[in-house]
Amino acid sequence: MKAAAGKVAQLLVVMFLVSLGTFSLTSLMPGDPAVAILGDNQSPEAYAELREKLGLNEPLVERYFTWLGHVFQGDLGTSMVPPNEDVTSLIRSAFAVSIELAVLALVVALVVSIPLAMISARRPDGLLDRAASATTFGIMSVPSFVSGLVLIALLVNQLHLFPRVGWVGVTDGLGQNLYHAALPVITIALLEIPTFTRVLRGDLVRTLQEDFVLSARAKGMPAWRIMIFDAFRPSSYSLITVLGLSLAQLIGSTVIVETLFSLPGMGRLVVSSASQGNITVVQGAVLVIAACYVLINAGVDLMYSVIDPRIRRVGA
Amino acid sequence: MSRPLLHVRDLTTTFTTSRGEVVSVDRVSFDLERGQTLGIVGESGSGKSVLGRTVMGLTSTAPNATVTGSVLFDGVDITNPDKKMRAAYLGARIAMIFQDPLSSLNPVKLIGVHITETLRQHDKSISRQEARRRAIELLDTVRIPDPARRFGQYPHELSGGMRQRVGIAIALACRPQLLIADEPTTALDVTVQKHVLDLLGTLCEEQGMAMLLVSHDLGVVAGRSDKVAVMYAGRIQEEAASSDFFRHQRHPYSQALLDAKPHLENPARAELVSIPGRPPDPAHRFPGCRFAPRCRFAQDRCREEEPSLESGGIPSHGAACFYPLDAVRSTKEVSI
Amino acid sequence: MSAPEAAALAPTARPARRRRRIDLLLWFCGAWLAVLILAAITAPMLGLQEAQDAAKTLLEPVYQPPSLGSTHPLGTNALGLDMLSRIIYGARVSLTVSISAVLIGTFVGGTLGVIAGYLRGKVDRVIGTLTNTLLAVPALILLVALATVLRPSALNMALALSLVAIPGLIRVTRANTLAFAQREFVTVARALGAGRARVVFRELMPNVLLSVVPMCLVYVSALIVAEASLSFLGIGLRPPQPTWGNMIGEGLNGKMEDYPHLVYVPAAVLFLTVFSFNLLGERMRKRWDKREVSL
Repeated sequence: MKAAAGKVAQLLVVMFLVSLGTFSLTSLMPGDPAVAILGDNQSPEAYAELREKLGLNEPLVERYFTWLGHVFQGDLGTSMVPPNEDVTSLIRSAFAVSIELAVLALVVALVVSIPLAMISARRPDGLLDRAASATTFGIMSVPSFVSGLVLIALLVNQLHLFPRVGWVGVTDGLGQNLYHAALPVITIALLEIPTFTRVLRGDLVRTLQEDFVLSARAKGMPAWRIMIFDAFRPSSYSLITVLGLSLAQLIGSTVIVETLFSLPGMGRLVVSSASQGNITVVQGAVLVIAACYVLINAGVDLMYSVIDPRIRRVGA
Repeated sequence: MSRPLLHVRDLTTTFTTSRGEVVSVDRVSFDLERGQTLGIVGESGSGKSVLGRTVMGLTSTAPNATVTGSVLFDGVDITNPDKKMRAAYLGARIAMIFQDPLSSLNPVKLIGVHITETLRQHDKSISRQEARRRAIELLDTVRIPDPARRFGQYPHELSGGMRQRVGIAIALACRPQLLIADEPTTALDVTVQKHVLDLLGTLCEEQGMAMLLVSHDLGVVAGRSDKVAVMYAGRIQEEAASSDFFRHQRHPYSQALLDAKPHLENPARAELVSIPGRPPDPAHRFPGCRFAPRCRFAQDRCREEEPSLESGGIPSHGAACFYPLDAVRSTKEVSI
Repeated sequence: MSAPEAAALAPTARPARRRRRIDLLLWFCGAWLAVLILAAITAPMLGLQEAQDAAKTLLEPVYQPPSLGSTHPLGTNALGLDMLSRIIYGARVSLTVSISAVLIGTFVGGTLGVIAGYLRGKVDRVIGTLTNTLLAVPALILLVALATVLRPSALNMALALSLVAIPGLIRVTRANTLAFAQREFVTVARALGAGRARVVFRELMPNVLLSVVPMCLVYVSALIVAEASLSFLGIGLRPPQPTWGNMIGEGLNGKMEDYPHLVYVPAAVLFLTVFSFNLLGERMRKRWDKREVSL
């Protein structure tokens, strides 16, 4: 119980530091933030107005707490760039897209890498294992914008299987939604498959050397059954860790893919805001993404106790 | 005379490793009658555990293992079982108990599930409720108190002795004809060892099961087996009815093993203090008797020619020795 | 199971033939990196075609596909700039920025990690929280956020990228320090009257830093990708300064369909480089792991 309380306290501290860092982004801007945002050929009134809006005339600490107060009420401010939308609602709609992409990509990655890892682990150093290992190692070295472009060249330009760009929300029909999500999801999944496969294969190979696997074989269980029902669950700890980290990272790291396929997600929101110097949107997005990361990590810790009965008892 | 339950001839298990060919089990032959117990005794590395696993058909799936010779179970050749045969025999007609009950139980599975999955694997018609009832019954058979509660617990919640009883219950699930017990009590406290061994003996008798009792400890085998085979460096060195064997040993190695017996405080890795030297490296075979380098009585012939069980000259009490102890003693007496 | 039996049941060692083939791949990767680094260093002396100034290439052909014997072996881009030359000048930027970022990251992260692992207690907790904070923001988002407020110069880029490498390096050096601090040579040094600072900097640092070299190589490749990603998104180093990322970015907006070499040439170079650093790191880790075992 005490350990859990300490963990929660640490999470809160981390969130506090992230908010502080995010907030002080404005102070990192060289020169006058107002000039940096608006460019240097505006009227002095425009600068003054923006400075007022950013609260630049108040002391830093006061500004931080005012900002934090608003954040707690779900108000992340308004966009710096016309049409000056509400940042919270901008992020809300982008977040839905990103979370869908991330979850779908993880599902695809798991569907590919779990069987792949099992096949590899059946005969370590066998032909299939070496082939899988070489392939995943190669894929690992391909940046997502390269693999995305290659997929576009192959599947869109040659085979016309998928739309090149664009997004259709789930509300406009699941079929269309998935049709537009497919290629981005595959591109993101390619990033995750090598890590998932390697992590799970390593743990499976170790588990398969355990005595309880031998005793399962002595009970006459077929090999596939042992792999799925005996070896998989005790081998999935590292995979769960990586999975949690990936989900958290993906909410923001789909930047590239979202740009490549013109999808209205968090990544593209951040990038387009960044290139316009739209600092409030960037701050809001970073804060939301960091909060997700922290929450997901806490969730992963909980997952361990679900998988392993031994931890359950110790933790209680 | 009816055919034996287990008929093993020239069984050889070879592993291909980075250090070369390692012959872990070398031309081993023995018979085991129904309902009888054969004790297989030897130091660590003598190949006794590999022998147990090879009989069970578990080594032949290792990618680097080769098994030759033959294992006839009830007249059927199960030396290199295929998938079908493995499913039909393993766990159903032949079962195994392992040395470390904690590591041989899956930590994330309930005790009960270990038993019910075996039952349902070999008899698809059993319903869940029926399997559960039988599992609790089995836990009761192996004298586990409060079996219904134990059914829903995880392996780490049980004591070592209880876990090994669970291991026995799993093995008994399908009423096998042959039980291979590989160091069943080595990982247990000395006080618990006797209980578990007595339980095994009683169960074998009740159910008419034959048992292959593998141990490094002659004390475990004594009084609980009908026949004893002593293994050294992959070969059986002496084989006899228990009553004969414990009255007098004919192979110098067997006698040394018996002299070294009281090592209860450190049984698993006990060195044979009475014999200088160590067992030979299985990757480097040499001509002659394998025990010759450590044997007090070794002669020139022992270093040139390999003895067989018949070399001892008494068929009912085989000893792979050209100068078995009874003969050595008599020549000594003559020389005095 | 006894030791010899366990050894006998262990998976077969790889046959010698396979080792040789792997070495070949390793040599290839090493050679590629050597050539690339050499070319990047000596770029101004190589007599390359124009890479940056479009005013000088008005008469050059544009979008020329690669043709090895010609004056533009890897082709030209929309402005008639030579691709080979841009690749090499791009390598200068990519390699300098990412390698110096890793060096900064190793220095800062390594120092913090060793201090956290050696002193433990409160200091460890403070540094641990700092690490978690940096990790809480995905690398690319962190970089984009910083790019919003920082001028896109090579120095700023290296500093921002080092922030990505620091948390991971803190964790690994901390773990390794905990392990090394148990070793006898540290106890001996302390028994001989060495102060904390001496133990940390003279005894622990060299050992710990050596043990993170493989990880550093992998970080170099990750940061090359990160830098390229930023340039690709148009918020890293900007044209006319050539980088591999903005070269690939030139292929967007439909140009890739007509002139695939705009994308494939820099993408292939990027892949080879990243792959080589990864492979080098991986092999080194494996070899050193073995050494650890034999110790």
